[in-house]
Amino acid sequence: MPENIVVLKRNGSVPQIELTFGFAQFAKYRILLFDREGRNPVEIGHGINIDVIPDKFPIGTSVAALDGRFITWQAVIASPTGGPGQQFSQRATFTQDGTTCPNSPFTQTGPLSNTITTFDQAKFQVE
Amino acid sequence: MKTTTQRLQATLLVLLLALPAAGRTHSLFDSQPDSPAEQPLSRSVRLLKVLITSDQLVTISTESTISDAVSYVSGERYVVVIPQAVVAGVNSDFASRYFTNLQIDQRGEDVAISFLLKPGSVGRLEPKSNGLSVLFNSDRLTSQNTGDVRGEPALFTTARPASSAPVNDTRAAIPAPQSAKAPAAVNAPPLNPTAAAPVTPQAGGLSALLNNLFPGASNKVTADTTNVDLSVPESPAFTVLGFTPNTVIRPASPKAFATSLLNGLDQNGNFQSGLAFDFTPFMLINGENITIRDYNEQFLTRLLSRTQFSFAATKGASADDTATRLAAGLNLTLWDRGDPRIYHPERGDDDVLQCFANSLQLPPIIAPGTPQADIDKINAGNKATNDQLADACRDRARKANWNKSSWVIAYAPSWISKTGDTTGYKWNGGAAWTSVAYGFEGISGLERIAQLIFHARYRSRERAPDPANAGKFLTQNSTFFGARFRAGSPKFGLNFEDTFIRTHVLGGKTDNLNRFSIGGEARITDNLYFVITSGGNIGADNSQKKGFVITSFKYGFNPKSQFNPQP
Repeated sequence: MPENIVVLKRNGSVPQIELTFGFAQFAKYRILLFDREGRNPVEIGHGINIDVIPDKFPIGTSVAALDGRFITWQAVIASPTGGPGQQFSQRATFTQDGTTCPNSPFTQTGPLSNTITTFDQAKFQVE
Repeated sequence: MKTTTQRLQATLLVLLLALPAAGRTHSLFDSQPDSPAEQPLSRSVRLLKVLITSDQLVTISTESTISDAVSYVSGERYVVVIPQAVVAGVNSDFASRYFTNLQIDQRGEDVAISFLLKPGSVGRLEPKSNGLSVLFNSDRLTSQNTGDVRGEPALFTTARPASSAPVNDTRAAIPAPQSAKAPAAVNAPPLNPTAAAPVTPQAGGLSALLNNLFPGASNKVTADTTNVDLSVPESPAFTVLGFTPNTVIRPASPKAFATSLLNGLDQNGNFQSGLAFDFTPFMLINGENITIRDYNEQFLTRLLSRTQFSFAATKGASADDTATRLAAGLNLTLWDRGDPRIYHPERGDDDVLQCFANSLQLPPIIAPGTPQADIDKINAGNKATNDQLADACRDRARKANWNKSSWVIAYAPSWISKTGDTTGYKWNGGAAWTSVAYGFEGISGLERIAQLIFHARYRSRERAPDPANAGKFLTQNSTFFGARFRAGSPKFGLNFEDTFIRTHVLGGKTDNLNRFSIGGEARITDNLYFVITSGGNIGADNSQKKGFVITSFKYGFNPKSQFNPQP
């Protein structure tokens, strides 16, 4: 899998990640932050996309501490109606100071048969 | 065993008690004994034995090869019609993986055996020295542009002229629903007048007994007089062409916006080949940006997401019919309290979204740098688990919300080029529908078991069989109003409906017809139901006045009653 790189400004504010799921499909997700070795996961956020809680979470407490660390997001997407011909899309958007970070968003799309389990990851690079 | 005996005794008692009532109903409506079923069978009638074996083969045996059988697909049913025959026996110890229900129907001197297909199953006929075999297989590998698509007549067929099909009256265009979920068909195929009629497991035995017990019962009174489809068709374009393909392309992405060749019979029994697809343009173009939260909060998003367009083009495949027909369709769901995408947390796990939230499981944590093959394996295992959980959620929600209130409207114009030239298209009429369903929300005694439906439709330039000229068709405009109340549980079902139909034959007379029916059903034992239906027609023409009582037993592999509307 090609590595996704999220470029952050060293003097910017703490970045945020927002997950968006299209085609009006249901999603349940989890976001984890790992250390530079890809270990010691810490949960950044989790949730479902049907409640009133925004699917947007701040990442860590300082930008400098994110350099070289990994972030992953896993989701289960399900079609409420079922049936053939369904599609899904999952988009992870990283923002800092209200603007989208370079290289972001990261999108996965495709056909959806009943449910699908997705996984994606990115590495932070502070400049 | 004792319980079964008691139930059979109770059934016979019901039959005996109902006998006088049936007789009175018969005399009240003065039913005409003109049914072919009531006439002596001709000497060429064959005795059929139907055998379903563990290898998923259905064998219909008689003394010789059956070379005049006709098969077609109607809605979700695969129907085999065998002329000049009666069923002498049915033997089945096996549930099929290709169909959930078998119905045997005596249509005058013909036998119709229909199979309610499971999704993805197709049937075909194969002649044998002592009858024929009905073979089933999955169409998942062959449904695209092959000769094995559902909707195409079987490989072994002998097309009967439309005039030979049993047509009840000029209102045969009123469809018989194939199932509660099946798309409506404004014009059912002529060979389909009894597709949903009650079953007589042994036409020569039990059916004869029932007909003797109930003098007013007539095999000619068929499902279209007792169970009218009041739903708005899912694909109006196909419906207005009288062509309801089972393989409808529903592209959800530009790549999937493909076409599919379709083959089948139109409502006049003519072979048609064509092109059909339907799509939801807003979802197709903008799907990635439609979140379920927006769908819940914004009426316009919801309306556009549910708006469906359909397109159909067919061309006659026989020398008698070279016309090319085009139709477009628009289907709008204005209101739907049973929409599974609308979040109702107060319903608990009866709401599919809440059930998803409670049930679906995230996979184990996957560390960065995990090989893709391992990720795929983890996710595939998680998907397998969640697929089952999601199916259970949908099934539960469907059962809990089947009768929720909704309002749907649809419109479908059509054009025809009688020569088949692309430049010669002319207006060929159209149809408009609306259905309003009320689910008695908030009324505790009814909200889970009952539904009231109002339906209206207008159809212009409709082709219908001419009752005065066998094999000919006339053109008419028709207006239809109907209402139905249905309620039920797994043990008992009740259906009442009343319809008003006004037809104006172009260049001819205008006629009004009111048709009503009431039906009840009780489960006797597993998969065996006693059904009684009564009703009548009141029309301007005296010949339309006819009352009827139908009684029958129904047996099926699927333990689901006929009138119980719950999924």
